[in-house]
Amino acid sequence: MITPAVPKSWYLPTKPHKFCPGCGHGIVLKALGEVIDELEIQDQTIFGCDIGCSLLSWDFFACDSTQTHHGRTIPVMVGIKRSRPELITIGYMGDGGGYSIGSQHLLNSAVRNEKVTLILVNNTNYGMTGGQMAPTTLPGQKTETSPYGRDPETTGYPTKGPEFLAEVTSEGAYVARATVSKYKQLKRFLKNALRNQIEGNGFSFVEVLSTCPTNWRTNAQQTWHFLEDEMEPYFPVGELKSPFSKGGDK
Amino acid sequence: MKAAAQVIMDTGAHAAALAVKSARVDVVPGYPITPQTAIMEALAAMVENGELHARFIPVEGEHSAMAAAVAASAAGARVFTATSANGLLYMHEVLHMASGGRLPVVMCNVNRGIFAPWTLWADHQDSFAQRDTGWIQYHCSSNQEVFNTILQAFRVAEQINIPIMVNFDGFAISHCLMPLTLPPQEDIDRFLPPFEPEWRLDPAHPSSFSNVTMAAEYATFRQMLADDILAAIPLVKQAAREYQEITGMWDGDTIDTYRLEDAEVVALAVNSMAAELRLSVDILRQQGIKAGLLRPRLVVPFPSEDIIQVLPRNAQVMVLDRNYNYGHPGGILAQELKGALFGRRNDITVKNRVMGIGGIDLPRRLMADEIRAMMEE
Repeated sequence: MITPAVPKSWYLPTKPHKFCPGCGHGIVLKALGEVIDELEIQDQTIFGCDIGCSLLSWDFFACDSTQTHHGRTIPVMVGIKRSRPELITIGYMGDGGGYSIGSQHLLNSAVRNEKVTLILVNNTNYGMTGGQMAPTTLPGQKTETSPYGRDPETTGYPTKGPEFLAEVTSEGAYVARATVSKYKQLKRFLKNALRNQIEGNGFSFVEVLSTCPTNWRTNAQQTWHFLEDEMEPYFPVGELKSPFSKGGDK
Repeated sequence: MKAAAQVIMDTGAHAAALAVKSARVDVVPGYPITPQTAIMEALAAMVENGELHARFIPVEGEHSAMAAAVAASAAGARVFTATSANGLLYMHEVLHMASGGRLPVVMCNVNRGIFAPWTLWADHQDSFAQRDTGWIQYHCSSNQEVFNTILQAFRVAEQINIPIMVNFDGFAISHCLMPLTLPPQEDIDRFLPPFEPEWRLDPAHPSSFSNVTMAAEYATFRQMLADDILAAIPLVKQAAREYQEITGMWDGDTIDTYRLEDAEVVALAVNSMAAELRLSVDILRQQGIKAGLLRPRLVVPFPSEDIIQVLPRNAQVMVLDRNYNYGHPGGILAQELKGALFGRRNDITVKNRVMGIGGIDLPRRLMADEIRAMMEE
């Protein structure tokens, strides 16, 4: 039997992981695991996960981890970082936790330039509760609470997190959007977001566009089509703010 | 010809949504949380397909859901929302705004244990932790009772301008199918007329709402709320009676009893475990123990007088709490009961167990065995 190479920082007794088949979380967490290995920070890392599907990662890594209230991962990570600045804090959340119930914490930690790394997985719906409309749901997209499609007249347009965070953050912040369809770029952005914390430059944030075939009710081909042809044009991928490259990596 | 009642099979969550539709609610702010989410999904679909002429507001969290509910109610709308567990706790601050502002919002809380650590399953710590928010609280033990109680709650809330929380257990009630009788809409409309608030926010008649008060005014508002919560008891009874007259259905009023008249041992509990306890009572009766059930439907205000009146002489009351009363041994229901009985019914013995925390299953035989063990103590 051939055992596929897995990151050293993964906690193997919890594999295979608990996410649905076709979910993008596994791709994000593999890239994150490889970055933790390459930066050799496993023994300094505290991994915090939010409520929603992201909480299924609580035992993904052989690192200290904590689960928080819905939306509160960011201040919990901030509290750890301020009390133990030598530790590497990674907050892992979905678009529900980060852009709706925890949006005040996201905005204010960014304004304060808190030296934490936040990874927000955007799958355009509230996955764990069964696929309701999220702030990131695309116009016209059908969900359990928008069964005839999201109507921007009554519910507004999808939240573009990196764009507003790039506006409010100070010098030294790192803000990017990646996608699970571009693995090398995803890994590079995650590495930059962690390097930025290690170097003490400032707030670091990566939104990752991801897939949710269970709640999208899509097959493999439709899933990839929705990600690449619907989500990616709406949510442009690239670095919006980076201390490492002036213009940012598009 | 008068329309007939319809009987369907449905879940507790969907029964709640059907009751909200029948109540012709105007505004529904909502945020998903397990196990409540099914109510919001059903209502969102009813609004979108035109079955319910209401505004659904997909807010960004429970704190905002209750704030939007309070505001919509102040603007004169009939308002409903629903939540569970930590969602309810996150609303806590705004629950006081609804009760202090005397706004008749009705909310379902689908009972679920509280974080930390996380659990998805039912206990009653979430609703009991809101005992002192100035909300009236019903607790229901069947899907039908959820449907009936939401309609009764709107009626009582709007009569006395106090918000009402209708509680029922996650999964055991919210997600299980039971037969459900839907009375004809004309009967429901007769029971629950349109909401006509005495006061509402109205730019044509400017007024201010929930502002700073001086100490004397503040104390007056608090005292009025405290008095009026107690004054809700006759209204709760009247609503149950009139609902029965119109629909023929009865779940009890402030309390519900089973085989209580000659009981020497009385089981006391709320929600789905109380439905199962009826079967435990039958088991105990078969074993020669004169058992009965007393189920408070109201937890706030606590129906002290009704309990004092109905308890048989020299009964042992076995309170089965699905919550902890931190700082005291046992649970909150037992403490409430002892407070009600003290100095009034010295013949009654109260014993207490905390059971079923975090959704641990409570089958009839287990509870019957536990009650027998409590008798030995």
